Amino acid sequence: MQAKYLKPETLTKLGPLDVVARQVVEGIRIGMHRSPVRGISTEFSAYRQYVAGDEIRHVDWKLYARTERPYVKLFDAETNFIANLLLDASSSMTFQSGGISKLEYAKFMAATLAYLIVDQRDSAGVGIFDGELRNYVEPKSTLGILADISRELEKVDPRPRTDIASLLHEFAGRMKRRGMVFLFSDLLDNTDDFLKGIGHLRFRGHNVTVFHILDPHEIEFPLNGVWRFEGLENDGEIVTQPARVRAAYLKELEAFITDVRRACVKNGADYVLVNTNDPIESILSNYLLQRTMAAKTR
Amino acid sequence: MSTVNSFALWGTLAGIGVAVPIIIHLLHQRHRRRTDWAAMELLRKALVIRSGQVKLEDLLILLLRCLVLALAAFAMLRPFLDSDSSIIPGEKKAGMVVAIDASYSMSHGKHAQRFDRAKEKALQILKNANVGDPTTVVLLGQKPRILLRGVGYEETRFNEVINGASTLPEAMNLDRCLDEVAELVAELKAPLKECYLVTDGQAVDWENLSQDARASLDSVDGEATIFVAPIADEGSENLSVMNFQYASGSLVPSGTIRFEAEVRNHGAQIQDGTTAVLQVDGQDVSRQSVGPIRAGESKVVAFYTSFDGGGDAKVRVELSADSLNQDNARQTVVHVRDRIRVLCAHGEGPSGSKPSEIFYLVRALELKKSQESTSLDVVRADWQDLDTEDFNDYDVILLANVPTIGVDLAQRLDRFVRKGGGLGIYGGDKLDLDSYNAQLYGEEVSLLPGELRGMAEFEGSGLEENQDEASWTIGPIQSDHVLAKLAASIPEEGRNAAKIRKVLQVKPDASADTLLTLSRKGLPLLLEKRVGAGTVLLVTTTADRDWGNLCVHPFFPMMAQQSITHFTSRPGERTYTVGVPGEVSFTGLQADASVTLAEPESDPRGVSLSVRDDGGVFCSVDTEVPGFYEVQPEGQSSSALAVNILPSEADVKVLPSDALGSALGKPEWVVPLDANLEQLIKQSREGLDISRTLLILALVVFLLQGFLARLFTSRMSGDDATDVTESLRKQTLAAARRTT
Repeated sequence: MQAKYLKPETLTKLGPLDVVARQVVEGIRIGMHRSPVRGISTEFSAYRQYVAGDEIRHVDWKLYARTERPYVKLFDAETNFIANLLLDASSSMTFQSGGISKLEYAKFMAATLAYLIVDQRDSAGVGIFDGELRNYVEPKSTLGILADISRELEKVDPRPRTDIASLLHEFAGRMKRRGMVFLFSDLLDNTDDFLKGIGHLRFRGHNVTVFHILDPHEIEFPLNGVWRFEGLENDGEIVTQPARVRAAYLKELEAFITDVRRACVKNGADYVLVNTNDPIESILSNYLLQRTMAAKTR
Repeated sequence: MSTVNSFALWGTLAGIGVAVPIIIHLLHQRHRRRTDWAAMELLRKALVIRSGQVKLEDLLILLLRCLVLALAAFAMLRPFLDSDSSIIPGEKKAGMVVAIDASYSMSHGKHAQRFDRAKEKALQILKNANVGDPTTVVLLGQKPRILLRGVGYEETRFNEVINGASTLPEAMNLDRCLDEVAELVAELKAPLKECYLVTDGQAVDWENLSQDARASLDSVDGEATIFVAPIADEGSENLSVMNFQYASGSLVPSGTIRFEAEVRNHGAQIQDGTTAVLQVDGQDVSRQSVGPIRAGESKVVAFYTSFDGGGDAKVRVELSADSLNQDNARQTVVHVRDRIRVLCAHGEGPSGSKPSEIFYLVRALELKKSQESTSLDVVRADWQDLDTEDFNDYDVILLANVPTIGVDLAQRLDRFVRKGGGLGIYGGDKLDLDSYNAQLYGEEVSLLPGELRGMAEFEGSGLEENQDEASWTIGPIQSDHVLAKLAASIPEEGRNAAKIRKVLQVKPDASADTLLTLSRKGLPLLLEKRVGAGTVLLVTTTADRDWGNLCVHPFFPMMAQQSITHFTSRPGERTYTVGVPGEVSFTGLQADASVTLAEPESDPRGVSLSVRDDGGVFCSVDTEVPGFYEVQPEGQSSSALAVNILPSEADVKVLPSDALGSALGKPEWVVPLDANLEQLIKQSREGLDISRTLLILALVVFLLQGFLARLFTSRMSGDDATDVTESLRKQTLAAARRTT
């Protein structure tokens, strides 16, 4: 894939890392990911008391001899997964204080993740949205999908007004099998609705990761003097001295991030705060390392 | 409360100053930058929380900054509380002008000079100054000499300056000095002002103050507390030379010259035993006992001397020492001519039986058998031969009854006089008055002392027994010109023997001096006019006996001789008073010539020459001390100036304190000799200077606003930002762990 979003040095740094699903995903092909369908794999998972209807061959007779109670052996099955990369392309994502906008940064991240996923023979697809889903590339595990994804990312035309919640609800209905959802957004929307969307995805058994992308100026608010702030999503303008409201702003930001993070945690979703000042490979490496460690500790 | 500095000025500056932060604030608001922003909702929430607080903080900071400037400007006004009873802290600051009488009368005293006592009193006064108080010390003389002007008081420095001061060789000029003192008081920047006049209270200076002096004192009184501090004296006994001058005689080699010195006893007792010494060029040539002089009287001491050669002679008279030595000597300079060449032109034509028109005049000049006449060359010439004469060969030209003056002759005479020659014009029947007026009293050439308006002939009552009685005589003498004084030296009876029947009528020019007049009508007989470097004398009667018998009167040869001396030497002309700029003119010298000036009490030094509008070259001399000043052009003979002190200051009688108070019209100004000066000064000081308090307050407010501004904006520091980001990361990490 020679698309502009996949920098070879970035991918080289990510190469040794595996994308490890934290929860069991359903897949067609047998792979290294755990399947909720016990018995296909030879890897022991757990014991469960025998109930009527269980196959007799799964009863552990040695344990029955010791305990005189029938227990059924459960096995994890390894399978491939489907990943949907959802990219917020609303106008607010175009903000940039330095060399790269949030949207561009999100595109790099999505493309990088897609490559990693397809490279390990999993399926990756991309959904680009603002107020609604604008473009969607169906997940596939062939290398050709990477070209499709890159082409769609290049065609992004940012528009005002984000409605992440409706998009998440739509995706929860669209994805028939449980899979992974990666969301790239600044989440500058109605937080309650967004959280309901996350809850819907999780209810359908999807593994959700939220990449909360913010600009360094949004995180640190280091402006001095008098500034006129013009909203990127037709939400008016504000004239103020940033230095004088900085403390209050940062407090509000912290509260906002905390709310989002807590909601994600509550719903079993991963939350990653991304500063566009940080290197992409660093963000993804940390994220994948955390996932790997979490999988091993289970 | 009042202010030291101008409210208009500092009030305006304060207004501008207070406006500055407001303008900066407004400009700051106008010059805002713009940016796109995504997190508008978060910003709005922050603003809802902070906006009211921010406005309050901004307003507080703005007010504090305005207050800083207002307080600073108010402090610059130097506000001054008129009363001590205020609870506001302040300082008792006073600006002082200490004026010390340094006229030469302050040198009087055999044991201790008045000036030493004055310096002691000045130091005593200055002990009441606080360190840093603006203080001025000035010496008073003919003009004020400012030693320290508005300098912050520092004991060591002031003691050094005052102890190093000395009297000036000048008389006191109270008008000028008090005017300057008033200015010095006015310029002092202090809430409390005090003016100290330390003086001997000399009667001649203080008894009859002029209106100008009183106005200056009133001006000082309006701004400051005046203390007139008289000092103790040792009486008023003093002899002085009031005047010393050339009196008469021909200033030629071997000529006998008379000098006169007027010695006055200013004291209350008769003075005897004083001697006067005459010095010529630094050598004692004559010594005389002055003899007894009664209190308040003067005596003229005459000296006779002669000079061997030509040039400037420096002549000085000095009395023996007394309580005040500065007024015991005076000096003068006379110029002795080696030879004097006189051209006598007459208009008589072929001589008849009676003596020539210039017979008496030539006789008067040549003085047969006199040694002095050997230095005088008199050349006779008919007026029609004047064209052939080279005027550069003569020092003096006398025109006797010359009928007309042509244009060329007038211009040659003008050049001759302007270069320093002497021109004498005698009247006569042949004079064409229109020609004289046209050629010698015009715009281009103006040599006559006045316009000639015809002849005046004595018109008697007709009862006179003889011709002599039907004539005018020399009228009352009012001029102090040497020629007038010469006439005055003749007893009136003898003077009246000179009879004049007819004269030229002259309307004197404004620039001319009438030296002698006739009795009754007061018609001018002898007039003088200075033209350039020369002199013109007009005798309105004839040089022969046609219009009277003046030519055979003893006064005539005296006048003729003296006028020649006056034309050529001008004795007394180069005698100046201290402080009056002196001037030595040169002929035939280039402006860039090398000239050396020798001054009293200093080494000779090179000086540059100045050029007058008429092209004449002269050397300007600053006459700061009495004595002889000698200007020596390279390759030429030297010219000298004599500089004397003003004699009026020699009367050293002082006014008692009460009389001084009466003379001032303000007895309360005068500090009696036995009064406690320190106590008086302390009692007079009331009020507080609160400018420093205001400055401190301004500083405190400035620091407070700085602290608050820092406090209000401290939330934007980089540490805080790092903390927030880091805490979010940690929270995220912790949450990720919990979900696993």
